[in-house]
Amino acid sequence: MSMDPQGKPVEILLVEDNPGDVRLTEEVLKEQKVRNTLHTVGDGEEAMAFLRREGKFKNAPRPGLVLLDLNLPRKDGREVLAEIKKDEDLKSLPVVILTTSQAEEDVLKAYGLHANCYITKPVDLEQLINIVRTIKDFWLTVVSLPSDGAE
Amino acid sequence: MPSRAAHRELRRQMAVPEDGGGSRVGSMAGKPRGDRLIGPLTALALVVGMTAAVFTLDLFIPRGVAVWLLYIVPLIVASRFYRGLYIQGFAAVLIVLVFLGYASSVVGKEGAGSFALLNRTVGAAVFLVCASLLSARREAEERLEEFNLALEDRVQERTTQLKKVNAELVARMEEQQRAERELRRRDAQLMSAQRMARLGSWEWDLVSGRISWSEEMSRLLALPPDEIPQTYEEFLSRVYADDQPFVDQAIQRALREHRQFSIDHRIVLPDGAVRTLHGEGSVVADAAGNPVRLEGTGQDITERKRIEDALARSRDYYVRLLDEFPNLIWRARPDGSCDYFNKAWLSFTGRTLAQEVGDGWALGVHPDDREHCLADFHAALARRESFVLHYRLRYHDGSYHWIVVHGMPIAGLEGEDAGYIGSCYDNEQQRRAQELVEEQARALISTNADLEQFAYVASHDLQEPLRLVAGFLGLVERRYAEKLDSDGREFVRYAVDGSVRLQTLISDLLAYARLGRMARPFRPVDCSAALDQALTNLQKVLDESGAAVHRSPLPQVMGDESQLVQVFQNLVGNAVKFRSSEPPVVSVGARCEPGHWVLTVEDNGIGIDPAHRERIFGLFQRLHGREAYPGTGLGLAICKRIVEAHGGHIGVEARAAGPGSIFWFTLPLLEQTKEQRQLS
Repeated sequence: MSMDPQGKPVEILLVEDNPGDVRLTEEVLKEQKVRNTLHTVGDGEEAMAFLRREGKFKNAPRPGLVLLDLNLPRKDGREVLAEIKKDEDLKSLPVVILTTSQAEEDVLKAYGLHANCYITKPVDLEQLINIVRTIKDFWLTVVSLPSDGAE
Repeated sequence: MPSRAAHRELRRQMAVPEDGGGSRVGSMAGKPRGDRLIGPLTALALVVGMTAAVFTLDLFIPRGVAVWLLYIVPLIVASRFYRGLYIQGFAAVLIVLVFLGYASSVVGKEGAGSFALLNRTVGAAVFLVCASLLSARREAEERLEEFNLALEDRVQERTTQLKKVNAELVARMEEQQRAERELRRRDAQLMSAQRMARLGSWEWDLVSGRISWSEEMSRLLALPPDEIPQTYEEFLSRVYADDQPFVDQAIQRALREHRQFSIDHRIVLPDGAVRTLHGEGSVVADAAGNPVRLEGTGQDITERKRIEDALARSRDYYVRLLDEFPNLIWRARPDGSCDYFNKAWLSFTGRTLAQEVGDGWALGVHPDDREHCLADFHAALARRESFVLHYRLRYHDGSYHWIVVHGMPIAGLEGEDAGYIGSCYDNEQQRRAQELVEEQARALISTNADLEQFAYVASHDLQEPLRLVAGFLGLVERRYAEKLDSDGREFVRYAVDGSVRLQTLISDLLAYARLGRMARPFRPVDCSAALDQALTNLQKVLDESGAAVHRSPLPQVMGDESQLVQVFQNLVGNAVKFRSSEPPVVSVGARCEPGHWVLTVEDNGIGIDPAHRERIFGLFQRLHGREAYPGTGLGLAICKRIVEAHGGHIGVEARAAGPGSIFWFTLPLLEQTKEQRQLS
């Protein structure tokens, strides 16, 4: 089941600067048959602007889940995570760190910043698919996400 | 005389022997001493009694012819005690009594009168004769006695005189003996003093030309008495040849100028030995001022001289030693002004001692260091403390060298403040070397950090494109497999495999690089728990291979748990991966050795050729084809790096029984507890 309790498609914000990765994530989500709307931004500043509906993202929806890469141009994922968790409006938003970094310090730091989940992107496609399935099952199905107060 | 008479009387009356019974020269020899025992009263009574008895008898025998003779007895008795006149008197009394007897006999009787008268007249005459005889004898006796007494007194007197003279003589003799003893004692003292001081005395009679020597002096010259030099020339010939001129000179000058002399010179003993003497002498002149005698002493100072020479030599030696010492050495007076610099200092600075003394040396100190150097130096001096200073001193070529100066206060022989002594060494080389080492260490650390950063970033960034390659290849395989022919599918498969392998390689490299980056403080780690975790991580592999893992209790060590998990995981993983045809059996154990634990992972696998035992711990070292045993060749290198970071070693040996290997690694002991010892 890929719909939230209201039956609306899940709004997912993917913060990822690499178009290949964006495409791959899209494809894998497609494989999972998740009915979703995937919004993509290329760097940390855009991500924050999207979440705060600033500038060109004035009409952006509030996402139900943020998939955040750590290494981003301009403002990296750690800063984005810290800002989200410091922001009263945004801190309830589930953030899943999706990164290639296996560095323990990154993991610890991310959890220290209250990341909801930390996932190392696997090279193997099957593993990636499994992970996305897990994310879907856990975050989009099992967990009751706070509804978007604005809509 | 009256006193002597009284004395005699007393003696007689008291019947006390005078003179304690001493001999009485010429006193009535042979006279029984018993008569003296009759007291004068007894004698008187006896005489009176006898007289009365005779008178009574006379009355009854009127014509008695010889009765009167009986009167003679009391007369004799009386004469023993009374002197002449008394005796005559007594004789007269007797005559009266005889005629009283006659008168009584003639009254009334006729015829016998004339005979009786004649008889009694004869008697009276006899009485008188007797009395005078007795009186004369008594006189003689008394004179004799008096003479005796006088003689006795004179003898007594002379005896007393003699005794006195004798006592004086004895006293004088004793005095003389004492004086002699004293003299002998002093003589002996002098000799022993001379002997002890090895100091003899001599006297040279200038008139006769003869020299006399004290006993010790001849002993010093080691000569028998008959060979002792009698003349000055003989003496001079005994003096060591080189010393003869100045000895002679000194003595001649003393004689000429009437002055004392004091010289040290050597003499040659008969056995050829050379001794050193200290001689002193002075001239004795007669009333006219002409020298008559030269007298003096000679002392053997060979030992003293030897010690003095040795001391002087050793002093010279140590001063030279200081001077030749390879370190820079200086000495300062208590006020801080320097008065000595050794050769090493002077050749270092290229200056002269005259330039350096006082505060001259401070000119060589680097201008930037001079102020603090002098301040520290004088502060230490004021507190009389040791100090260590570092400053730059100008080398003779004009460059400045860093030197290290150690100074410490020194005390004089009496414990007084004698200033400071210090040594310096040229620290320039060491300092340069140290700077070089530090620089290299910094460079190395920086390079290492760069390398680790590079490895980390590289492997991290390498993963990004790789992931895309693998991901899209996977998508191709998933979605377009049926559109490809078998070749196409195989190619895609290889490409996927390659990308997966590359990913493993990169992730292992990353792990290896991260070991250096992630230096976390060690904590107590339970190796059993680490092994548990490793086995959990390996669960799938273990299940697939059907491996049996035997384990014994493992110790607690100080370390990084996740790294130790990695070690166990790699070693157990290898044990399973390199299995033989037998089902794998892995044993993990530990034993305690002095100073460390040895942990072992034993397998029954294919074993390792001894030639490769070192190599396998290197980076990317593989012994087998990838087809047979997949892997990156990094697993053991990672283990080695972890173990070494924990202060241990890692190695491998062949199993004693059967094929297989024992991988072992050591870890330092945690504070050893009883439990651990029991465990081992």
